[in-house]
Amino acid sequence: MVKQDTALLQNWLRTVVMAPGFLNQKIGFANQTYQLSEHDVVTDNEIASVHARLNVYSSGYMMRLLDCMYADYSISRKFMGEELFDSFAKAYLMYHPSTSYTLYDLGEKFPDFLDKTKPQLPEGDDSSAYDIPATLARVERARQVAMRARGTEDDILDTNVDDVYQMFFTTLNIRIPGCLQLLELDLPMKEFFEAVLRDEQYELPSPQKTFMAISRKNYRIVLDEISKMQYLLLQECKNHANLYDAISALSINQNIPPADLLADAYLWLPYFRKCGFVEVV
Amino acid sequence: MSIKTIPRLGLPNLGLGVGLRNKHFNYLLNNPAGVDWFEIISENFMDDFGFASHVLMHVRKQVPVVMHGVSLSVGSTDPLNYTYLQKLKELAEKIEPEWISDHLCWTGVAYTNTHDLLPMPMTEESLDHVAERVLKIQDYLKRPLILENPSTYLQFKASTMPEWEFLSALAKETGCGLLLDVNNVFVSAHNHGFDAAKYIDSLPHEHIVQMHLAGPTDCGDLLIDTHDQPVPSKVWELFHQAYNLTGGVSTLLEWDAKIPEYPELLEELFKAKEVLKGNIPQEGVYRSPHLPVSNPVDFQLQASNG
Repeated sequence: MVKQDTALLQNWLRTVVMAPGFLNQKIGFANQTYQLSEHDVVTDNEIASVHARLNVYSSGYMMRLLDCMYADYSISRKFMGEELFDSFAKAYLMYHPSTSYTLYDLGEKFPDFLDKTKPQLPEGDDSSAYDIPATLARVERARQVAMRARGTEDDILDTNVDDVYQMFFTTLNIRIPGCLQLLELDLPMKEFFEAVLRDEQYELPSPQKTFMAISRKNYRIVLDEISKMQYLLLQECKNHANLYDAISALSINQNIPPADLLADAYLWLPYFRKCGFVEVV
Repeated sequence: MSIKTIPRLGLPNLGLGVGLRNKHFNYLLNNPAGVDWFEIISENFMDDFGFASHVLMHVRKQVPVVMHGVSLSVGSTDPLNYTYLQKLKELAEKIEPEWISDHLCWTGVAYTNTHDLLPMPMTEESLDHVAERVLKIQDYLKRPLILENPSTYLQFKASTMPEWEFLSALAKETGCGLLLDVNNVFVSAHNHGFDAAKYIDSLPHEHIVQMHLAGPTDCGDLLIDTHDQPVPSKVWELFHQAYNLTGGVSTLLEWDAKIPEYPELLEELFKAKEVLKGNIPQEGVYRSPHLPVSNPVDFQLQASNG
């Protein structure tokens, strides 16, 4: 019989717990891989069978992580329906077993998984309905990240910008909070997302390039659709310490006069700050 | 008197506490804590700068906090995860817990994490392995590690000693503390047919720093550690026994699924005071025909969902 050291036993049990299939298949795969038999590994007694004992760990693994997917993607689950969501979530967990110490990383790649596994229709057919689950999950994931990332709550530096002079003729140092999530989407999601969240009637979104900013202000999530230029400016602000450098860079990239962008930014800045998209420091 | 013979390794008896759970966040922002201390799931607060951390710092100003982890994987044959240990240390520097605990278990190998508390083979080889890792972790964290006995549903044939003997040897060899989960003793004793009272009698009581209370589920053949029920009489009896043997240690009620409102949670916790007067509550073990999830973890994610 093979010497049963700790490493061998752990690899065997891990396989029983994480391999795909029914319990017998999992055990068979583990036995074959590690040249062991469950009856040589696990103590048997009259209280419960070896298979009943292994089943607690094996079935518990999938149920436990599925519960986490429900918690992470409750809105996607509501939209997809329990049965459909479960089949995708189970497949996802099989293809993307956790390698992290934190459960917050568990569902990170689920939107990409939904995208990769959507039905492939012949070219020219409208497949936009199949894009909805992945897009919705992407918004839901961004919202989750915004809830936990560094926000503006502990900052006392957000400076008032009271007048045009201050805006146009002084250096306005800015900071993008870690919780700001910027999304470029092929479907408009704000109204749809909020309707699903609140169990309201909704129409399926039709394809349209949209831009979304998700952030947190005073521990409340702010989720809004923004214009392409607002999206690009906020992206640019991540790379610059002051507003004018961000505007100059965007002006060059987009071939737009800086004065036009500055005028727009003057109007946008109060809204950005109110939503926690940007801080003036 | 050496540190190893001082009760609780010299750590304080904090009294009665509960786990900090998101269901109670709003209540706790508007009401006094009402308990002597809180236990947090360490991993929930690593890299968190949101509402959960805000609530944690709010309660931390009122009462002591203990960090209880679920991903240390001290028994794993994978290398120690120093990224995780660094996060643990950073969190400890931020919230200054009374101590840091985790479980005598492994959560994965081959760089995967099952997020379950999997059982160790109880052998001399695995004891040496765990002891070496505990010493390294304690060196890194610069404080004693407190390890909890998990609920188990299987035992390995390769095992050569009972769990209490393994834990005793580990504690004496490394100086680590023990978190005695009396519910887990009750569950494992039922599942494997050993004497729960003897298990508790046999531990080195001066190493016991903390106790856990919880309610399991009877699924027919096996008891499952579900953390979703009132504490049954038999678990209260084991608590009473352990309290007398240790001279009193910090005690925490775990409730992680079907979590009651905060005042009801405290009602259940404060039954411990009556137990210490000899009044054991009459409560059976909850029975379910379905196999529930052992060691539920989804409440950790609900913390960010709000």
